[in-house]
Amino acid sequence: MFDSFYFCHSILANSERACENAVCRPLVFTWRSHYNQRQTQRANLPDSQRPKLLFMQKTKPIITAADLIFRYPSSEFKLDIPKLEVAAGAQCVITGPSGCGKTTLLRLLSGIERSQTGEITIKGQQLSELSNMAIRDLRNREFGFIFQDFRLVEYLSLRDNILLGVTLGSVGDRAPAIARLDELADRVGISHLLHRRVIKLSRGEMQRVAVCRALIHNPAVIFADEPTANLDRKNSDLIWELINSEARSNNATVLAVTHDTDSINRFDQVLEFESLMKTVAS
Amino acid sequence: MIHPAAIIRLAWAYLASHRKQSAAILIAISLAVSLPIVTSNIISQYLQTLHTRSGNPPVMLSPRGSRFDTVLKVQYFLGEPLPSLQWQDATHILANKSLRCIPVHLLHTANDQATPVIGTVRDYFTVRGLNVQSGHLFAQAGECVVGALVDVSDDVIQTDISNPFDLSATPPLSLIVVGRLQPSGTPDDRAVFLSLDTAWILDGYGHGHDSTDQGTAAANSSVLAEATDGHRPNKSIRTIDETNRHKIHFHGDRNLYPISAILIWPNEQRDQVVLEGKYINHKSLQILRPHVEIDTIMRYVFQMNTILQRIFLLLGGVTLLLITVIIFQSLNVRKHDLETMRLLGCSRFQVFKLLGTELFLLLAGSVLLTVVVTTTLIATLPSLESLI
Repeated sequence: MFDSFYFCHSILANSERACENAVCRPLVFTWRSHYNQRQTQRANLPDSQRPKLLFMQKTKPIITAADLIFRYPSSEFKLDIPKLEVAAGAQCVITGPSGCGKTTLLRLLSGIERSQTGEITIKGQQLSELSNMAIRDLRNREFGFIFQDFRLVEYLSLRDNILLGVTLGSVGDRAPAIARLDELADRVGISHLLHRRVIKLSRGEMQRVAVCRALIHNPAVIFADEPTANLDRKNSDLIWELINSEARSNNATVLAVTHDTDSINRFDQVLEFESLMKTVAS
Repeated sequence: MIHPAAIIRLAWAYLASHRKQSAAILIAISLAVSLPIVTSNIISQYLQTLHTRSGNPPVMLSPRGSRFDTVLKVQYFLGEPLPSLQWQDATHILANKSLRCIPVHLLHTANDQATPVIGTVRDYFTVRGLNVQSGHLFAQAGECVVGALVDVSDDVIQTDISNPFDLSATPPLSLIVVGRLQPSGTPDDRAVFLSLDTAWILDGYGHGHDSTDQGTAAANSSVLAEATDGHRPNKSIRTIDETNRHKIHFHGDRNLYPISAILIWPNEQRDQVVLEGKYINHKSLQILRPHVEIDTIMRYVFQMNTILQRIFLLLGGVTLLLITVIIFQSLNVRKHDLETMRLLGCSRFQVFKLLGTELFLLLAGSVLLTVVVTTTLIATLPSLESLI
């Protein structure tokens, strides 16, 4: 079973070698021990509950990043990722403590932010070669994004929120999305709320709407940024279950970030953020 | 791909969720547009009304006083009552065969001072080109003819009491409406016309007595019993008709009865010059050329119109500026929503189209409201004009 995680192990090993400063080492070791503990738990799971990982070894990566360096203009924070690959169809989670840069990495990979150096390739397209408009178009057609703070438009109904990206995007035909809306809403249990405005929803319901919006156009890649932050365990499980099952049924790739270590069992591929980083500046 | 219905739906959702702000913008735009239109319309109608009578008649005789007030009162029945001239002043001119003269009496009103009551002669309708739509012109005391726009109930119109604090004043009279004039688009449409005799009855120079009312205990004990002028007005005659018309009689010297002005149409220019020369240094009377006074008034109105239009232009500019600020502030407030659209990969063109649609809906609503407001205000123009 552990063979399937050769990629993550190698990154961890590289990371440890590279991380020679005293500040980051305890952090990496902490996460390393936690990671090992999780892998042991995975190994002890019955076959039916174990994530299906074997296909990953033979699948071509859908997202690759190399020599990625990013700095915010007025911050000392520096993101430095030498290499990252996510296999097509994989359900991958990046874990790490809050504020370490997971969200920034996700924004870089989804083309929301542009790195100063390095290269990101998604579905064979190098983001650096694409214009802003083309990246926006790619994001609209191929990506589904679940934000930590939901990012729902308050004055719109749930229905309009879920269809917002389709309505104002470059997706040609809205009909498939509209046809899928009821089914999706039914699955997440918000079909009776579709004409209600966002402002009247609970946080759990809001996140379910955000998930529906990310999935409505059958994206190839689902980016989920701490989608269960601030949710209770029950809602958190529901959201992860929804994302995992939808991604599997549509053969979509999931790249999620979370600091919720209890949920990483659900993923095929677990990447520790510190292990991805060449150095940790802050 | 364009989804107009979906975009309109999203735009409407935004406006509906901010209905107070949207309504404020709608009202601001529609008022900024409709007020100049309505004002311009009122002024142009006012000028047109002024213009229609500016040279008709060419001259008029009136007591000395404000030339503007006299012309406005005599020609358009606007303003406060004028000082009167006496009937004997008219007789000299009426005897002049080279002048066509129409005396007018403008001291009374009806319908709570909304309707001027004009005492005149039947020739007035000829020189003004007024035709009877129904009925006939007044022929006897107590009868009247009403303009096309005067409200009448039961063919009777009641005059206003001249002074509610004067117990000896003539009580209001119920005038019998015997005819209605065709609409003429002039101030005559809103006036009531009666004979000079009826006007003098309203003044109190003529009245009727019931014989049974004389010397009764009730009459003797009334506060009017001590009246020293030898007669008392009798409240029992409120309507002059066939049954009591023979009882109407006049007191005093008829030559001293009041009239407001004499409208004069000279046969020739020379006659006008002679007339003007005759009254040029008169102590109590003056000859006016209405078109000269009206041209002056029109110049003032034009100037006022220009000033008003400039003020409205300035207000429009300020409104536009404020609305621009509101829109930019609104965009600022919606930054998070617009950012979300960007993050979802929404096309910038489509987002602009969404914002444009919101603006379009606001403007379309403003146009609709402007049309409604403008139409409503213009429909109530007669009352506004009377305010002027």
